[in-house]
Amino acid sequence: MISRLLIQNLAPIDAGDGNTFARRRKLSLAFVGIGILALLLFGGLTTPGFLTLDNLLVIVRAASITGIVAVGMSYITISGNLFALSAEELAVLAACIFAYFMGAGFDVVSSVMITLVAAVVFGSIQGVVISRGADPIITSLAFGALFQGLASVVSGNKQMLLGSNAAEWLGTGRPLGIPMQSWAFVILALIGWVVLKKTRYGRKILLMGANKNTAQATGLNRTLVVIVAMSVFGLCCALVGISGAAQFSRATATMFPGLNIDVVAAILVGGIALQGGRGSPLQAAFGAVFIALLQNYMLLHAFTSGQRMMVIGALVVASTLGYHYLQGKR
Amino acid sequence: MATTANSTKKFRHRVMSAALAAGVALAAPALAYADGRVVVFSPPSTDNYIAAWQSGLKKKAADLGYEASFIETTRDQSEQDAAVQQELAAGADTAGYIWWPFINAAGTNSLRSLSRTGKPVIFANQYPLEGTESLWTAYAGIDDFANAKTAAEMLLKACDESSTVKCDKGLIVTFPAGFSAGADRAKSFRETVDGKLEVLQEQPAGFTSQDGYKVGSQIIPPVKDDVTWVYTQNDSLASGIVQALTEVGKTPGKDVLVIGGTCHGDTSDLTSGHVIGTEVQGAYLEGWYTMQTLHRYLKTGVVKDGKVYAEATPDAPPSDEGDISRYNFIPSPPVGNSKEAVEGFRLWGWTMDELCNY
Repeated sequence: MISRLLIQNLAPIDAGDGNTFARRRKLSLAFVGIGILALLLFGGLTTPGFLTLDNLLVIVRAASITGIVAVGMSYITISGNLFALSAEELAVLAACIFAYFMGAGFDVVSSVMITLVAAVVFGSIQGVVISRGADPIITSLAFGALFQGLASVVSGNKQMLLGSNAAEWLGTGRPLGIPMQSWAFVILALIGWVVLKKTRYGRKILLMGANKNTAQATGLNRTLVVIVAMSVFGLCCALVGISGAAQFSRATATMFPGLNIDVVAAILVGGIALQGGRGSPLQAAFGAVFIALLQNYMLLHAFTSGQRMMVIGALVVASTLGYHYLQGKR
Repeated sequence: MATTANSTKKFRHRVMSAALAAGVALAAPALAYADGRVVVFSPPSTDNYIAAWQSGLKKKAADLGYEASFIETTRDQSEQDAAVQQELAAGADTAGYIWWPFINAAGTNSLRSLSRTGKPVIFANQYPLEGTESLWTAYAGIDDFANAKTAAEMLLKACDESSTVKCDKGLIVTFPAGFSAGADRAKSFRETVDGKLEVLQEQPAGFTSQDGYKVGSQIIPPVKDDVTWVYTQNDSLASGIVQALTEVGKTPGKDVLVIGGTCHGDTSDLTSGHVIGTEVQGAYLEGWYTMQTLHRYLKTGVVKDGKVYAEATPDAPPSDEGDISRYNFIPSPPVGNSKEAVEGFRLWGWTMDELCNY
């Protein structure tokens, strides 16, 4: 009963002042929204072809891989468990599992289902360990090494060909002219937002992140919340892995380099509170789009990779400081 | 995020250091015999090119009576440096070292440490940097400059012969930043096409199809009406570029000429005509030849000045006897984009399928 009341009245508990909490959340969203609009305007004025439909689709497509995982990761961060740094390795493992079953003659649907189930199981196992009190960063790093090793074993350190192009549409299809990955990204972000804001489970995640001790004292099942959050993360990693393998009809143990850091950057730039309790999958999605937009601008202006890394690093630092200020942590 | 990245790096370093220390401590007593032990430092074999390179090296080592001991590290030069220090500290005897750094320049201090042991050091895969000549015994591997020059010449020839595209502006998509082989190839390619083709942009990408697509899908759309050729440094990158071109309505091989610098992964884009040509830089063959170079030096103790290119014979591999040179290059013969060219290719007894599809 107490737990239900707390969940239903989460905002006042979290910040002590519901209006202040809501205002800060809106400011965080506005911050990244203004950033995207400003960059679009600046890019459009200074770069020929930047604001074309083709290029905007390219940007959303580029944001999709990072964005899908960032949406999944947002539940982990909002629940007060920082990050899972095993995204890259779990996506790689999922790609290898998918390629393995496709190569073994399984049909696309069966291969996809097996991969999704496997990734959810891998995610939930991490959730079990983290919910027992283990540090989420260290735990996920260790699991990441395990997943990378498994991918290496499954692939035999060779390219795994899918054996047929039956799954190619999963990676290259363009319903209504929009890439499959972009559809998945947008739909997942919206579903993620609805679940977080409109369901009991979503409110449990927010409460857990806002005040872990209070949540536990009211009988909220922390283990279940963390396991489900990690399972959603696993599912998102699997979608990325399947999509990547399907795109080129092959998988290797070296796919998705740098995905972990890209996803963390999207979470931070999106303004999700590191301590948990605030934020939404939409903010993670906007963060991914903002970074993709900036990367695209820099690529079109032939920035070197060092310059690009420097700018993205500075953006993350500025975002972290900016949100810190907005959240009243001066 | 900087803090998180640092924590991650530190954690990985600690795990890596502990694992290396334990591995070296356990292995040292067993290696007392070690006259035939060859220590090989390389980036990780999770990369399929490196896995095939190691496979060739291991097979040749076994054939010649050596035991190849691989010390792999992640794509982080500081980890590889730690591995070198721990291997040397363990004091296990060895016949010689094979050194494949990830970041060539950053690995110079480790190379110096290896050279001070007095054992031969064969530099592998990446062309050694100027000024480091006293630190290594010989180089065995690909000539990146010649590889890129050949790719550029293939492209220029294809441009001359094409009836569908007039080559003018184009793009260069390279290996990752910091990987010196990528920079060497880009430099050589530019020099060869200078005055004949215009380079719109050069961007580092990586090694895989995903890397090629990630960069290509962003830099190609704004210049899709201008771009007439793309030089990639391996065929996996080319595969990503082919898809990026297709998505903007271009037909690779017809509207835009794509050249892959190194066969890598599979030959489907070559046989389909999407890629105009490639070069056979067999990873297995490169590892095999690197081990043979070390063995020949151990037998004769002689290194001749200059460069030698192993002959690209269809069946007979080079002899295990004779003096080596300072630079010992494997052949990387060009291959056109026909099914006949691919299926009829043979080098040292291996087919193109065996050398390129891994």
